Amino acid sequence: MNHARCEELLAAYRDLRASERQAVEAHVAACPQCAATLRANQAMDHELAKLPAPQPGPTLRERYYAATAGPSARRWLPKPRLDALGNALGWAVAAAVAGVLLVGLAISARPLAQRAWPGVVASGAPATPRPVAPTTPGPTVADILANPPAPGESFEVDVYYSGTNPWAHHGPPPPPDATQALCPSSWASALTDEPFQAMLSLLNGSQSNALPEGGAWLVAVTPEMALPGVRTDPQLPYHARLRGHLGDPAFAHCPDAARIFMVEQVVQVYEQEPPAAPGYSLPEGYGTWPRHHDTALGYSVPYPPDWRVERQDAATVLLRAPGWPGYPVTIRVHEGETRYDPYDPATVPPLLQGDGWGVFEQGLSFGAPLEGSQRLAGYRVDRREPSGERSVAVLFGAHGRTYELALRYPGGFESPQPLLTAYTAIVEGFRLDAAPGPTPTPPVRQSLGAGPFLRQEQALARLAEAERQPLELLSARLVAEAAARRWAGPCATFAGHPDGVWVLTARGQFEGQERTVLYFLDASTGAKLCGEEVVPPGDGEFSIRFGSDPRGEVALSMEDVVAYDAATHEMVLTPEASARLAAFTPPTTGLPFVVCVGGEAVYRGAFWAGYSSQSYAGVVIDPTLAAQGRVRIELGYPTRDAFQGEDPRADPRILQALERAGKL
Amino acid sequence: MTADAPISRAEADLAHALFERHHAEVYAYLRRMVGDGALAEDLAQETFLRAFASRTGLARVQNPRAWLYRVATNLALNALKRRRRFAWLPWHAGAERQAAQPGPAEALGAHSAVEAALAALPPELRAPLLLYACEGMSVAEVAEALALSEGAVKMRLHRARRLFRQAYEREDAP
Repeated sequence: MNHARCEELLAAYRDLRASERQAVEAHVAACPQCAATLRANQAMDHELAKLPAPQPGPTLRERYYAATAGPSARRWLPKPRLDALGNALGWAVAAAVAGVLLVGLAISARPLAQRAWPGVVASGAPATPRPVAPTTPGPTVADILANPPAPGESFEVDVYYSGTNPWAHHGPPPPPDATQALCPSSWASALTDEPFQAMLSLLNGSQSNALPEGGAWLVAVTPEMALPGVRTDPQLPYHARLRGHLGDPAFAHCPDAARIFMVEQVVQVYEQEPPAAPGYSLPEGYGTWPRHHDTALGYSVPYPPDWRVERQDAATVLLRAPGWPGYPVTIRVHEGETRYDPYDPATVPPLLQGDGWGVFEQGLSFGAPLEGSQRLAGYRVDRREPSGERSVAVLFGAHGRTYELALRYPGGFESPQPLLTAYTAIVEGFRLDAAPGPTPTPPVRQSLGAGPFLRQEQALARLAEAERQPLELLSARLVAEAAARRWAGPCATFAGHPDGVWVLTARGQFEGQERTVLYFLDASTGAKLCGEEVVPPGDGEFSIRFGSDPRGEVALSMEDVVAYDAATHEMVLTPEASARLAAFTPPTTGLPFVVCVGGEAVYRGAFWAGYSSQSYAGVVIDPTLAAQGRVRIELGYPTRDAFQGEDPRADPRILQALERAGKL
Repeated sequence: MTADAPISRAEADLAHALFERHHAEVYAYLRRMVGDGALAEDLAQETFLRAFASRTGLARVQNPRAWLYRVATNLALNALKRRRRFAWLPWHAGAERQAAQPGPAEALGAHSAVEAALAALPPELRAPLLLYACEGMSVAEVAEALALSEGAVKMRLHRARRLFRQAYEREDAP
């Protein structure tokens, strides 16, 4: 082997075929440079594998489920912060992704000058260094709304613009078939008499603020936004006198049409950028905050020194801020732990019901866990109150109780950010007297229920009816929910907790092709739980499959086998495969398998568990012995004396396949 | 999820199951690809919305994980191309903004020499190295995820490793 070829192979050393590996090893042994490359690559893989995995915020889940909640709905929820560039990019990308290149083209292909309109920032005017006061006060938004000028009539108004907030977003990606101008998002493009904070930081994410209904606000649009399907954010100064008009016909179909203000000109800039806001960080003096300790309920929580602790009842305490007396933090302890069962998405525990929920984990809000943090994990629930206010609650479950830390907060022009920051610090500093135990596993049924269950042919008939075609059955087994999940690929998280599951491998016509699908059916009702395509056997690849057909469900694949001893026919299995096999409980009359090479059946046998009192004259695998990470293909059950016929195990096709894979 | 959707509950559930199983790792991968957490979230959401949109066919996708990574990679590469183009256009009209354009390592939020070296790779080489080394995929899986031949994957891994080593040594130098 030459040196260059060896270097190439070393790049994917883990995946080499046995013959390649041998050749590489021989070369490496004689070549110090390649030996160094191998070591460097292994060190590189090690370093890369241990990079901390960035965690998504809870909004990803909220947004995904919100977007998939309707038949074709793609509702868009507010999302976490973006820098100003990323913000526009995010939408441009999303728009491009949605198959509409309009936004991207509007921004990237059009020369800059065309983007500009008189007086607007694109002329390259430098940012105003310090705020300039309006020389003569112009009309206010409140004035305009009280006495609206005629549609299309130009007028001037002094306003603050909310869209300079780099976290603000200007709406969902446009639909691919837009024939009208897209409606602007009011909160992200608000023009107001007093500054409006479009985004609020809360816990480990951010939340869009809402404009007060009937309040003094307009919504800015710019001329290019009047084109169908163009989504962009108006580039306006933070505080300025603008000239423009109401009643632009392009936006007549939008909600709040009466408030949509088409900007014609920036007359005077008072402040280009908003004043630097204090960062979202742990409040100053947090280290000296007192703690409220409830020994009866087993928790303690920090609170700002000037806040009041008020006990409402045995289970409820309010923490009240002097500046926000109407919005206390409520700590309430409920009996019973709140847990969400990921396999039962239809059933959301009452405390989690709201406009959105996600997981919450201490330690992420201010960039690092606070000193002494227990890194508690729980849930976060957001709700909109009928009053137009919002509320947020964090729930931690432990020791048979749910600890709820809730806050109702105002939106609109009142900026509750200091309150939200203090609430976040309280949640981050919450501690239990005794650390919680491990998160309980979801209530997956470990063993087969009492039934009655459909018979195999009934299950197949239901399936054929559901798929509207006759299906060829390749293998079938009736198993407990836990076993079905353990054996499934992407289907492992099917919904519900059935008493029993029929795992059927069937062949049929799908999208004009004959395919093999592994189905999971509720064994009581015949309802289809999930289906996934069975990987057809690779050329010359060793596998053990359920049933007697080499296209059936895979029981053990080449990937599950670490090594195979040709003398004893003992296989060393991966920990995952041995756990799967050990938990598998075949009926006392056995469950057939077929040992295959490629698409060819070489010999047949049966999984026969050590608890069976019946004997078997064929080849057997006792899955109950797999717990030690090894399993043996044996002759006859309970002993070799029961075996009849020739020993098929040392078939050269099998040994060659194992040899090729480097498993022998 | 709704009764009027022309798909079976199980198919939607399969898409949801894929989301539950893979969204954290796909997000982590996208985050390492594009650097920006919020953009990575957008792309991750788009990835799973596409999975949801093609849920009827998804049940028969042989390797849904590789499929997800293929969609995610394409979205990330497109986003990065767009970003490169944007980075050159002074469309925010501030010369000072342009001067403050972060280098690739800063733009990707790199904190360690390893992350900086990773950020220094062209995205087309970063993707296979991340999939192989961080996500633990086999060459065959990487090939499936990137719609490349196995030979092309090995070649890219080889080039990625060489560039990574060079960048790492630069980063690590005092």
